[in-house]
Amino acid sequence: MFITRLVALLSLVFLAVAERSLVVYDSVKIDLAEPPIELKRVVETFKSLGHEILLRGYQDSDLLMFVSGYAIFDNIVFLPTSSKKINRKEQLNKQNLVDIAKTANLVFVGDSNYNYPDVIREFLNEAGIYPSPKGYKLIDHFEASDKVKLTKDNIGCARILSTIDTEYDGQSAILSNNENLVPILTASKTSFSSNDNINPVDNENSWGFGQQSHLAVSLQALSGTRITWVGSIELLKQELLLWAIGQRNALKLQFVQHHKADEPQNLDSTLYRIKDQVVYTIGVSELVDGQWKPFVVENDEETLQLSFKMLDPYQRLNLQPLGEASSVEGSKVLDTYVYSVNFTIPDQHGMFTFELDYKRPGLTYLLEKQVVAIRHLANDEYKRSWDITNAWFYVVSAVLVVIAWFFFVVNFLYVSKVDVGKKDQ
Amino acid sequence: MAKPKTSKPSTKTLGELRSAATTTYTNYVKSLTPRTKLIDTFLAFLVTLGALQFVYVLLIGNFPFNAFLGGFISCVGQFVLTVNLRLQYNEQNFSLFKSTPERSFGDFIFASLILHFIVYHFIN
Repeated sequence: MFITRLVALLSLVFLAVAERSLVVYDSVKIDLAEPPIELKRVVETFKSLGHEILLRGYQDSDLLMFVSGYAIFDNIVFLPTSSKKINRKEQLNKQNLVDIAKTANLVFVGDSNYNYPDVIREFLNEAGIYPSPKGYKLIDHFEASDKVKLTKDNIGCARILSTIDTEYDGQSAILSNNENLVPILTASKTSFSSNDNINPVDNENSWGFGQQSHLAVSLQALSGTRITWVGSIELLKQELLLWAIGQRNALKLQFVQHHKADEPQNLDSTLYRIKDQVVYTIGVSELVDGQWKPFVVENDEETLQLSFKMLDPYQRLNLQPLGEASSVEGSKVLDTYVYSVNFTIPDQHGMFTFELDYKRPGLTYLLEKQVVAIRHLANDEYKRSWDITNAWFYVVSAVLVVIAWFFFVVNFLYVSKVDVGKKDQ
Repeated sequence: MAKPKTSKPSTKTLGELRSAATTTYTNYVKSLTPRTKLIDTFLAFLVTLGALQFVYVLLIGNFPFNAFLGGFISCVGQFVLTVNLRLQYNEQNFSLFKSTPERSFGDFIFASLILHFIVYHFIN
């Protein structure tokens, strides 16, 4: 026990650079000497990425995910298991899974012939994924065979899966209305899930109908990790697995800057004035083949937007692409794409937030908030009246009144003298 | 002829109105001293200038609102002060006021200076 911990800790230190991945499998049914082709494929994928990979059975006594309160794996794949039993409940429990999901990508694989350990089913339900029970499988009587043919029409998110062409034999899941859930594969309109292929379906022997059922779904966590569930291990091909463990369509905000348009040297000021011209710039990278590459927005739907908010957005602006750049100063590697917007701060003082909230299905989220104070014009910053052409008429009027008044006073004195003279006469 | 007796009442009223206006005007001209004449000319000038500014603000918009207020108030304020001066210089009103006309003329100059000082500050 102590030695395993020590080993885990040491390996944590030595392999801090390489990602660590764990595959939890059914040690009762699967003999690692002759692994099934699907397991081989998963292991190969991890190895090709240079990950350090560990295989553990659900019942293994050295199943270790947490050391001193820290999750020690970056990716964990849970393969189907014929037995619900878990020996090390202090390692594999729901609370631990929730904690692990904050820093690690989790992949859950279903199988229509197997049930899930209670921990895993509870965790999936908490994420809003409700897989069908043991024995239920996806059925479509419009199909020629027992299996259901999956085509392009089943793809729910084209960013994750570009093509699919397979005969599906597996589970389905219905989803909660969690807005962070991304359907990857959706069942066809004529399909349903049942454990009874012959009798008419009713509430007792059915799980989901038509496009209510999903065959692969992912929860994009706010922390940037992914929780993916697939209804059959056939679906866990390279494209999907790479996405699920965050190797594809992962975004990174390299830098965020804002400054007054005429003072580029004064970066990220916390104080601006109403009607200032401000430039907001960000650099976004995308993970491609293990390296950060510039992330280029390809269509209007993907456009990055800046909100300038004080409770409500006063401005909501599309960021304009500027070009590729390097995220590290002095480096010549162009690894990020720069987006920028130049706008006028509204005529409203108060505490405002530069908010970048980028959530697109299939991409990791970008969330960035910077609070700045917007002050009003100082007393001596208003224009003088003589600078405003409109005011010239009023200024001239006021001057005219004084001149006329002066002549009036002089004349008045003079006239009164004449008056007195008349009286004297 | 009986006809003039049945002339329309409206024509009659108009004629009366005209004669009343003429009488008022003649009386006014008669009562004019050179001083009051000068005061009235000044007042007419102030009214014209104020009206012009009002038309201007309606046409152009009230953007430098402080400037409009300054220009307009200088006209109105000067008008009020001058009317006060005229009241106090009217011989019929001498009994109403405790001050002498010379004193009221001094007051008028002092008040006008303060008015214009404030207006120039306000117009910025």
